[in-house]
Amino acid sequence: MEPSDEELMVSYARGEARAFEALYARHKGALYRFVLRSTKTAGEAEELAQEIWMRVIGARVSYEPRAKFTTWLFSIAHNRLVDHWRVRGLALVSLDDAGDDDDPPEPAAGPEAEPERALEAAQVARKLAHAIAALPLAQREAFLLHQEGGLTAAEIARATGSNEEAAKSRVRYAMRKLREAIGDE
Amino acid sequence: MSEPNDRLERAYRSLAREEPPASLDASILAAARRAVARPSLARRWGVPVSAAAVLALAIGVTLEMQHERPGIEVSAPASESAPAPAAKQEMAAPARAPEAKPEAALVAPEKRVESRQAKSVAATPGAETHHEPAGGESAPGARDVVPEMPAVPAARSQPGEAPAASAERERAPASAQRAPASAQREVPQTFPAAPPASRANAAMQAPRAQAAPSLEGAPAAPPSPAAAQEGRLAAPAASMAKRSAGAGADLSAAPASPAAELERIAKLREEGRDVEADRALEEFRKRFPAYRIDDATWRRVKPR
Repeated sequence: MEPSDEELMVSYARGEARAFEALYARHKGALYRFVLRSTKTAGEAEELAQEIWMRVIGARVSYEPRAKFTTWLFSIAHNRLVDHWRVRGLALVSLDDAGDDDDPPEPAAGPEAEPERALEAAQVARKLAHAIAALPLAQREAFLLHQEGGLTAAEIARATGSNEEAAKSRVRYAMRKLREAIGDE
Repeated sequence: MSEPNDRLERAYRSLAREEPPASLDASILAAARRAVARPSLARRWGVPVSAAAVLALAIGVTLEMQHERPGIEVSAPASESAPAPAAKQEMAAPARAPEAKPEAALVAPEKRVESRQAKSVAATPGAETHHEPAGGESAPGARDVVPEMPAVPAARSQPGEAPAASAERERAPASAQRAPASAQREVPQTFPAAPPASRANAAMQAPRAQAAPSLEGAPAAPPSPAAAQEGRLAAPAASMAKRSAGAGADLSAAPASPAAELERIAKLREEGRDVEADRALEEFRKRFPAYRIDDATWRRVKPR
């Protein structure tokens, strides 16, 4: 039976480098995509992902498996991203109420533009990527934590320092916009 | 939250599944390995083994020297016992003491020869069995003066010492008690060459004397010039220790809670100590990676 993430992290804290390798292999993609889709450029994403993992390494001794490892990991990622946005003058404010906002989603593809399936899928993916990038920060983060980290509303709340209701509504708003963007209403 | 979103889920999964580049993987994994790497055997044991070797060598040399020439392990007494004749003169004519001292210093080797001859008569053969003929060092000379000035080297008198020497020691109890004090007091002026020796000795003995003065058995510990010098030498060390203790106290006094630490960083910002604040913020993120800084606090601590 595979050891859990928490067991691996505890093993790593005790000095087993291999445990970290396993842990990293499990989560590197999800974390990287979470950061990449939050920052938009690969260069920034790599830098931030590295810093986040370095923080995980640095905090190994103080790690206590009180919560899921992924919650802890993504809370570190969240904090790093918040710092990143703050430095750039962005902030995670009043995002739950900014549901019907600014960037109107691109119109969904109509039936008259019926392409072949592959082309359609590619278009949908492109629209979705664009729509994700256009989401308000908190909603995008909540959506990505849900999709990439597999976190529940409670875990998102814990990772981002908000409450469960707020996390739930952020995910809901985000999904509604994304559905609209891909024409899935 | 878990409402069905099949199409959205599928669409999301169809997005590129980007992975971090291999170079990033390599650097993170290398850092992770380095963080928990144990130092090699040589690095782990290098310092203790070297320290033990130096200690063993020092003990070995000391024992060897003690065995060959009892009394040589402490060079300070040489500078203390050598002026004994001067001290004797001092008792007789304290006012002339300063002039008498250099003379005593100059005649000391001759006295050594004379006393050796005298000892061959007065002392038992056992008293000289460990002595080497020429010497030329101050310590044997100091020991050779024993019959004449028993008070100074009394602490180092040998088991086989001549009864005559003991008798003389008993005959002059006052000088026996006073001589060390005067000798200790006068050493720097009496023997210009002595202080460097005693200084060097003090420098060598300083740590030992501080650690276990009673083990040393050196007669001149606290009041002697050597000790004074030792005190001077020890002073910087003490202040350094104090400083490092202070630094330790500063470190230990560092706020433990994230909120207190942030408050400290905010104060640094207010005082315009941005470099320190930046460093502290970086350190804070390492110590509390999962701690969320609220916006109000962030405005006070953020890099400028």
